[in-house]
Amino acid sequence: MKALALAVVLAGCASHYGYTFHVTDPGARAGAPGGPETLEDADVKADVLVDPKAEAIVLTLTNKTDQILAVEWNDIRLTRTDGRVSAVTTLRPDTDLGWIQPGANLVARLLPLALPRSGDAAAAYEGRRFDLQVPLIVRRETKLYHYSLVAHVRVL
Amino acid sequence: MKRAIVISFVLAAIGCGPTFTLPMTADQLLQLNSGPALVAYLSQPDASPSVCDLRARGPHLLAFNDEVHSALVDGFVKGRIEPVMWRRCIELVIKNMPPTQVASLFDELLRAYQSMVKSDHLQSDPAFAERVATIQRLYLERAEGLDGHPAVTTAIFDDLRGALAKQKLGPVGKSFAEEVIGTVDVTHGNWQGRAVDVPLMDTLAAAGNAMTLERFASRLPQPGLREQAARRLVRIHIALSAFDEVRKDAAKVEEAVVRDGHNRVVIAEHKLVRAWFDDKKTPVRYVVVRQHVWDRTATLLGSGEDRPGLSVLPELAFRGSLFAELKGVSRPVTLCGAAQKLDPTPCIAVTDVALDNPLAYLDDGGVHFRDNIAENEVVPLAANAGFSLPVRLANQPAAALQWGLGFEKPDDLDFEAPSAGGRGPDLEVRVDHPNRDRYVYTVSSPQGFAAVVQAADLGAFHVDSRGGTGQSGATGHTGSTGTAGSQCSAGGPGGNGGPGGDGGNGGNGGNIHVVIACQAAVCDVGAVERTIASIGGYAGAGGSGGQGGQGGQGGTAKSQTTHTDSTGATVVDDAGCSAGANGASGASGSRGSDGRPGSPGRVSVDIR
Repeated sequence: MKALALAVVLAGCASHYGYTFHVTDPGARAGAPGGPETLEDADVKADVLVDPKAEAIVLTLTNKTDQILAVEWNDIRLTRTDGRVSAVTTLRPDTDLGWIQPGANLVARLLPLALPRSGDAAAAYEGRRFDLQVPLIVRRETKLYHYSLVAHVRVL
Repeated sequence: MKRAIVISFVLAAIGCGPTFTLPMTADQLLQLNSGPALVAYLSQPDASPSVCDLRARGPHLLAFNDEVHSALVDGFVKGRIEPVMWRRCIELVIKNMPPTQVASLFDELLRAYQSMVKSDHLQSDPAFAERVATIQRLYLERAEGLDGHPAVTTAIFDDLRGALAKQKLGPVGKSFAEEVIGTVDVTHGNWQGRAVDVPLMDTLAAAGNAMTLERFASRLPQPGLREQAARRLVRIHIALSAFDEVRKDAAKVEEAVVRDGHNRVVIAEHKLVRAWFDDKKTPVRYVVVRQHVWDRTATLLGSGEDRPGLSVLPELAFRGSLFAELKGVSRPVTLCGAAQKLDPTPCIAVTDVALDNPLAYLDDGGVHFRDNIAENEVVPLAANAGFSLPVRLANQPAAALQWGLGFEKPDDLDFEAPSAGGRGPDLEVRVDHPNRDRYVYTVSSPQGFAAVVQAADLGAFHVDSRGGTGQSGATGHTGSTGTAGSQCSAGGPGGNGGPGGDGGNGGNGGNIHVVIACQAAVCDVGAVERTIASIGGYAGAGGSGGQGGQGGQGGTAKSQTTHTDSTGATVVDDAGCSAGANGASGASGSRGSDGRPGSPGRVSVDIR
């Protein structure tokens, strides 16, 4: 009985955490606080926003080329690195978005993004690095775009 | 019995299942042939899921029985097997299963899925979410005609529809359930509330909605509509193709891909210019040969920068790592992928590929390394700087994958006389030095044994002919026990122990004739000579002297006896006596003499 009471007390003491993510690639531009961060090259502009509440990554892609740009939606990966150990999650948009016409953009909500919310498991995410890999077909060439993210946790 | 069950349950509950020595090769798994062993095997880096293929060319499970089935599902749900490995294994299992068994397997997986999608863990545990995603992908991408039992699947999907309608799922669970339910609708010919038809497909194709068309091509109920979806999917791929010839010859390519699933290049019509392995996409391993010299077998293991420690060698997929430049084809091509991908990219058929390494074989497009190898098959590797995997395309030498190579130090080749004190066997030893880093020892007499030794291990490796250890001398007999004394008398002395027997002489070492053949490389003759020795057997130890006999036990004491006479006085009838002394113990016998150690035999060396 005492052990049960102790377990209840300990469980009640577990801190709850909230997350923020930042793009760490050189050249990333921050927008409004809490808004997406932007990375772009001559072909593609990407606005990346990790929305922990919605448990999704919101990726807005703009096709800067004069040809159709396609995303290989089935092959988007999110790699979480903890020291030498990496875990890979396959992300998919919540709806089939098709390809992107020249000059156009589209917004993809990439799911699932499961994150621990409390206790040591959540605290351990402080400073953890993520690599979002998005395969694109740009001017008919397959290119793998990497977006590097770092997580910060705070006690709620 | 009841106790054993309780112990098993407790061990299972605290995670103490059977343990296995790793690395475990596929051949060793085959010998163990159990569900827990399969889980242990698949948990290893670089394990090959082909062990799950009951028709694989290489070592594989003998049967997929209930025990293996439960272990495989349980091992995955508990996170012991990586999702990618598990899925490949299950797909191979399904490939060989009768449909009724497949239905039962899907029933079980979907029940697990239903429970996992509703679990709170799903929102907070990324690994758990990946396992759910893996079951979902396995189910949604299953081959046509395979499914669970309708009564089971309908109930599960109705339950998920209800959970979605009542908003009982978290965001992660909702995203999974929506995709599954959307796909189930496609199997009934509907998509987002409307019947799927060709105009809808045209609209989707114009927008490049390949994800949806893929689902239509694999899951629509009518074959005609599936083909129409496949055609539109191929057209999307053709429109995006980097190969000019694919876009120019779109109609012909479309026909080929819809028919075959890929766009094979006939190498006979397109001369091979060159071929190569893409370093960035090919796993790099350092191959380590573990020799079991006394069994005359060997095992190939590997390590890599991304794989610390020794493990089994990985299965290699040449698609995406082996490329060829062919005359008349505008860009490099690789091997064809799975037919359901409907990829119009020109590619090389798996049947055009062959390997020129007897230690590897191709199976279902993947390269596998043999597990149970005879020692004489690995000895020729000693001459090579590295481990080479030459590849032929359409029977022409094309490219070679090059990995590092090393040999673990083998057990010493220590030949001892078959009997105590016997002479060691005469040995004929040949030492070859086919490579500056390795020596090959071949002992051709009395029986053929071979061992490859890295030059760096010479100081720790030995070939010996050893005389038998001399027979130990017999222990002397124990002295007799002294006679017991009668009442009041002393016991007799014990007898002396007998002398121990003399130890036998150690056998002489056998004669060894050594041929050191240095071939191209410069030998360290001194170091090689120091590895070979004839050794006399140890002397037999003299037997211990027999223990002296124990002295006889002294006789018992006698009590005084009295009586009272008529005057009341006490009269002593018998004064009695005290107990007799124990007899003296006998002396121990002397220890026997040790035998003489054997002498080494003659070692003669010819350097060629």
